[in-house]
Amino acid sequence: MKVESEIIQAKENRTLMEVVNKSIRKTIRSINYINEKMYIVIGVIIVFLSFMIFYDVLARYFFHKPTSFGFDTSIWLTVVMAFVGGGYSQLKNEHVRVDIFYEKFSDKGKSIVDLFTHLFIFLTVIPLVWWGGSHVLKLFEQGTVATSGLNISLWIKFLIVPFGGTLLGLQAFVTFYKDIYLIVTGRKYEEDK
Amino acid sequence: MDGYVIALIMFGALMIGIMMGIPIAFTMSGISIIVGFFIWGGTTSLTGFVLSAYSDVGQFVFTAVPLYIFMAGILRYSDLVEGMYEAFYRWFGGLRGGLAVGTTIIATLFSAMVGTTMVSTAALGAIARPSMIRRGYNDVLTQGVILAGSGLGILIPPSIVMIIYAVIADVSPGQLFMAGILPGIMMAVLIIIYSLVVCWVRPDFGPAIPKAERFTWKEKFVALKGVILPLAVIATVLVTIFMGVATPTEAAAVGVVGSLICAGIKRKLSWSNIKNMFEMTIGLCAMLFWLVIGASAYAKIVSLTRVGEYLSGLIEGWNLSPMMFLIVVLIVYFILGIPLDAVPILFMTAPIIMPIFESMGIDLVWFGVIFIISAITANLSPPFGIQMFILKGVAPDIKISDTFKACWPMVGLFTLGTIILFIFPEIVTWLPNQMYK
Amino acid sequence: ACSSDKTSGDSGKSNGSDEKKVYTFNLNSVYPDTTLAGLNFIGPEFIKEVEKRSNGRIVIKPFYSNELVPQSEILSALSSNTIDLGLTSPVYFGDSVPTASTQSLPYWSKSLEHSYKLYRETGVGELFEKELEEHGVKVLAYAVGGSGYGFALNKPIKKYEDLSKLLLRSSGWATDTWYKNVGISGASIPLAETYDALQRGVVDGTPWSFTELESSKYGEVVKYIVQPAFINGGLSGLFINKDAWNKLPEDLQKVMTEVAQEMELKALETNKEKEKTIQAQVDKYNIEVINLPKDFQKKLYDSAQVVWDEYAKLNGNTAKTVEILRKENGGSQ
Ligand code: NA
Ligand code: NA
Repeated sequence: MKVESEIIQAKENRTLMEVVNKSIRKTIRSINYINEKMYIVIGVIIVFLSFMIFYDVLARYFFHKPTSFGFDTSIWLTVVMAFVGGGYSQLKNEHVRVDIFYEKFSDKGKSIVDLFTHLFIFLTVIPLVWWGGSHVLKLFEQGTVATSGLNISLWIKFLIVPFGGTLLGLQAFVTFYKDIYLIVTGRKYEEDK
Repeated sequence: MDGYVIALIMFGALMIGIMMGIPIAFTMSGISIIVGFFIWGGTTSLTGFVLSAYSDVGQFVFTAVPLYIFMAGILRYSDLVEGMYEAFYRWFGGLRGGLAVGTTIIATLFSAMVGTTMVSTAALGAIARPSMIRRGYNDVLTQGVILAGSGLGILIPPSIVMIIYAVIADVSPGQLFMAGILPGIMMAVLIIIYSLVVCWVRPDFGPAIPKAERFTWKEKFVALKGVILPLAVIATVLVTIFMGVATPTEAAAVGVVGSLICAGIKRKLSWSNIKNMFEMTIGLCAMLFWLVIGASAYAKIVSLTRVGEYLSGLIEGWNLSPMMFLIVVLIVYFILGIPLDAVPILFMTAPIIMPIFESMGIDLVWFGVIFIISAITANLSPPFGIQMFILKGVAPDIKISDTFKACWPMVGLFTLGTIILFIFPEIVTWLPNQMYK
Repeated sequence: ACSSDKTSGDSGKSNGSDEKKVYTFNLNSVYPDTTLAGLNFIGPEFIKEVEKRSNGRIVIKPFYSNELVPQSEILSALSSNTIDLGLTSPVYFGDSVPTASTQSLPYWSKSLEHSYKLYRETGVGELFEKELEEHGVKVLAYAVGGSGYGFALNKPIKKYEDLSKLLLRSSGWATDTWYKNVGISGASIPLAETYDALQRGVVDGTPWSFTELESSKYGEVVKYIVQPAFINGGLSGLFINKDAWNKLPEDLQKVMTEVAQEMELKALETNKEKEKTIQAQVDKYNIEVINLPKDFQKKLYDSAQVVWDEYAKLNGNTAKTVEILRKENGGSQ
């Protein structure tokens, strides 16, 4: 009887493991999906930005009537593009690195180096999310509105800092998980299983 | 602990991290956050980091960065190079080494449209190289002109490295753009002379098209239509700047719209192409801006250590002339440049070197051009360099030993160019001085 | 980020613990360390003098050209004690501290001395300091400077109506509002590109301080300056985080205050001297000075009142400020 209960217990454990595994997979897939799609966000922004500045230049040159918000909006959208792309680049492994030695390491070796990568990413992201977030709250409480052209609340502008940090942090969580998986199991984490 | 010891530790940790293969941006920010925590009042430093992260990216001049990247993406996926190559092939094919000349000219024209090196490397590697090899051109010479010619992308305006340099050194991006034109043309001429000399000495390296296969004048003129669109894009951007329609930053948007029209005419605006253009934009843009974020954190902590003052004092003690100092800096840059790209080098060294330059009264516009040439040189020196890998990427049949052989003479050419600019700084300063008088 | 260490040396003999405590502060300046004229006195000179008179008990480490925090974030950084001291123009606080923009109002003061008097004697300064207090920041000293801030143009103007043909660089909310009322077209051009823009004719001119035609090299690319200027004295301030300030024992606070007061006056005197260099700069670049006739001046002054009105609407403090300014400027010029 004891044996039987152990088997049941083991079975339960396995199903529990499966549920955990499944939800981790699902989470990873969702995070990947979100960051993957950021190219559309950036694409729309860059097209809008191009035409807005183009229009501003023409309106200024021919009619002496540039927009009042163009300059400020350009700056803000550039900041948005910068922060939004961090997670995407992490997903695509496009953050520039020197791979002279790195490419010669084994998969496990790479994962071990990347433990430092993740340590550094989390060190970078946590202040952006936490202190950036509290700065947003502070600006929100003060109700400060910019007077420099794009006259929206400053907290909205600054929101991109914790937001971008979160996107990068989530993606780093995924790559971190994969590295740990590889170090522990010795196998590469397969995305579509 | 003395400031300069901390700075030394930081620099050492940075080099170790980078060499291990940790992404440069996060090595810089990570180290700065750790060190900052200890020398800048604990969590206070984190607030400093976060506040700066927003504003350091949020500078109007930086708006040009994504715009020029997007423009490069549009041009890259519009297959402009084929048309250009066909034109130069028909015109110069009959000349010994003529295709090498044509490839250099295309690379130079492309450099005047894009702010990076990789677009022309990829496009010419995919189109010009197979055609040259088929015509019996030597692969070492072929790769050499492609890599060196494409390198001009960051020297001839527009140039993303120049924009970033302008922000860091606090010089006018427009002036820096002007300063790069003549040295860029000079380098192109040097590459052309080199190819012609090589093919004159070794006719088998760059054979002329046989007489019977040469093109008629009509065919030659018809092919020129492939050059019209690219020239129109270049002309539009330059004219808007010169006529005072737009500032150099804003001109990037004019270039994007021009390139989009160009791509539309060539019917290249399919969704899959647009997707490629967007993906190139987000990838490069994020890569560069997270470097800016990491680097500005790093620069702050380095200035907190006061290492700049310490080094200035040290260098003053050595009694180096500005010239000697420059040469030392360039050697250091060259060594750093072997594994690293121009932008991270700039970010790593600027907080230390710029103040010294200023106190020595070195012309920062002139130095900007010298710096960029040294970055191109380092990028071309084996065994590492992003361009080499891009070339290998589009032309997998390449033997990397050939690439190395191709690069050395080009390293020599760019070194020669640097020496010429040291002797005749007017080549750099003349044009901006004409423009700004 | 104030840190205090015990000094080494003969610490054993001293009995008053405060006597041996060294207060170390970080100062972030928006200006380069080569800054000339009056600003030196509330920057490098202030630092030197405070260290001397406190017998080394106050050490201020300056970081010039925004080495520690960007100029747009100085108020936040001061307020969160990320930096202890900040040297900057209050204009950068405008979004969070409404009264910081007083000095952007066209014709708000008649001269450098008048600006100083308005801030230190009429209550204008107090209103600003009260608002700043809410952010946990205190003013140590003002340097009045930036004299003769007016239109530097590369197109001439003869009559008031000519203004509406101009496209000028805008320098923020106040000029935007004023331009609109006059009919001037305003364009935002970053400082880094202003020289190019003037040179290529992207804009017809910019408001600029006539004492800085040489240092900015704008003298090379503008042909006219319009006198009288519309801002005759702006202020830069040396600011300190209040917690950092409160940590100081009273005697050291007194040292700081004393030095600040002295330096403030020295800055004023130096900048008054600098005002006299305008003619030399105008001669050097062969710039034509356009002297506006009285009725033209009057029209401009009147058109600027819309900015004052808008400003007064921001809050009670700005309303009070405008009231004082109107009284002190005698209603009109
Ligand atoms: Na270029
Ligand atoms: Na290299």
